[in-house]
Amino acid sequence: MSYRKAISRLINLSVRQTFEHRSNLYLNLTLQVINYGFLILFIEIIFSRVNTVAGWSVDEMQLLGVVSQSSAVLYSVFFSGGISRLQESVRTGGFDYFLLKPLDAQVHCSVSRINPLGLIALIGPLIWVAFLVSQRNLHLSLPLIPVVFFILCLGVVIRYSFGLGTAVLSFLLTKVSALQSLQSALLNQSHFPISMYSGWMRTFAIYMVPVALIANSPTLILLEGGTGYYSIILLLYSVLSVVFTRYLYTTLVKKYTSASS
Amino acid sequence: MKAEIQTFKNVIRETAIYRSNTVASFLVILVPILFLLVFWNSAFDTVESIGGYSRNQLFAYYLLVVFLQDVLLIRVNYEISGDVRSGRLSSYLLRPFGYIRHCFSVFMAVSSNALLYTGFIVIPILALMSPEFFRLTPALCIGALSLLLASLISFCFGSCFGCISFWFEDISSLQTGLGIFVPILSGAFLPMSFFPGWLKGLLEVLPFRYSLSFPVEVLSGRIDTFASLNGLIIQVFWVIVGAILLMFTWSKGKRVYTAYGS
Repeated sequence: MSYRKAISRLINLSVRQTFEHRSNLYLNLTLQVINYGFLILFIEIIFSRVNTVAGWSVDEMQLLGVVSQSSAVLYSVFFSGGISRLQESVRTGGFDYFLLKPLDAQVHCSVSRINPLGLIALIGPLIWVAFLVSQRNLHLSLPLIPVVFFILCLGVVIRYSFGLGTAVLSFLLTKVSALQSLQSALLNQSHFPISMYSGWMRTFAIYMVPVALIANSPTLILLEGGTGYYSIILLLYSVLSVVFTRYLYTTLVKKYTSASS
Repeated sequence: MKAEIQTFKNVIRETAIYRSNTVASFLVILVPILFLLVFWNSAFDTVESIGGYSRNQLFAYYLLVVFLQDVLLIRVNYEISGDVRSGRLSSYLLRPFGYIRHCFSVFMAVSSNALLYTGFIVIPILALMSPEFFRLTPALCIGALSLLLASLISFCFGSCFGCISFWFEDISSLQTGLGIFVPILSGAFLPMSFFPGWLKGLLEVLPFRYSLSFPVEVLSGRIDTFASLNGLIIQVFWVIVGAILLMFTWSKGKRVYTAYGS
């Protein structure tokens, strides 16, 4: 069976499973909307007391919030479901199930819980961008949207690499749940403007864990049509992180003992 | 009481075994606050004070939030809902001590541990930034008392929330919701004085404020003695309400518990 066919079957299965727990789906979507609403409220409250923060206006900050939220949603739709279950499957021995299938186990467990219905959560933020453009005259470089989408996907790839990179540590360590929460907490800070960082924090947030690039790069392209430098770093980082994560996975999977199965 | 003390000791030992996990749990709280501090630092470039807070006062506020958040935010609900869903609760019901008392011992042990770990980092920074925190003033004494009451509020309401699992198979979405709402409504992200009047008024009457931002404000000396005592009375009120609610949900829940999954 080809990967395309296998993934489409997995998506099909996942959609069916999601509809089995419909109330959970609706509640999750509502919570995402509320979460985004709080982010907007947070920004509005701060900007009711200051005009700009690190050179960013209230509308620009809200656009950054939308882009950051979109990146988080894309990661959660495609990868987070599968990756978050990896630790448990290693602990219980359920990882055997992935190893025995005629698919690469890393690919299989990564995409085993794709949930396309989660994309509905993007509707609210996109409506808000439309509001910002039409009502508050926020100027965007709309012809660059395909480039913006590509750069946004690079951010998702980095999230994936960090997520899987942490999860595969469960082949070595008994408990990695806190490490997973830590990487997630770190990468969820992408809604802050890149210009606020200075000194070691700037080095950390751009070159070590590129949390400052994940949402800022696409947002700056949308706003100014430029900052190719950040995009190139993001591209290089995402390629390197994928290669490194693959290496980490292939090395650590050899330590898997199938203990409880 | 002996069983509860032993539970307390066991949890402390278990945390010591998974040290790296415990340190990472602490960093999970520290990381968002660190980014928030960098953000606020930039915001203070153009203004002297925001919402009545100077740069140092706001930093001290967030450091205290880091220090207390792990202790006060509602986590006990995960334990209870996990035990109910998996059927593990059955084994506790057969033991010669109360399940809620057992949960309270676990809660206190986890909280003490969190205070210890976060204290190592936060207290020296606070001592350097604002030495006045460490003078024995009425605010410090009232703050310690309000901290204790805040932990009781967190425990009672968190446990009530966990008891919802008696009626619903999966409350993970509700728990996610709680994870979104509680930090915001309790003042972990923004001090109460930043909120618009209508929202501030609403938050003043809800228990969330009294589980985090109130003890933080008392400890940082932002509330005068009279208002602090007034706040303590409201905290006692919420502890009583929470305890009654917990007794009610626990006794009703036990009756519908089917030991499913055990």
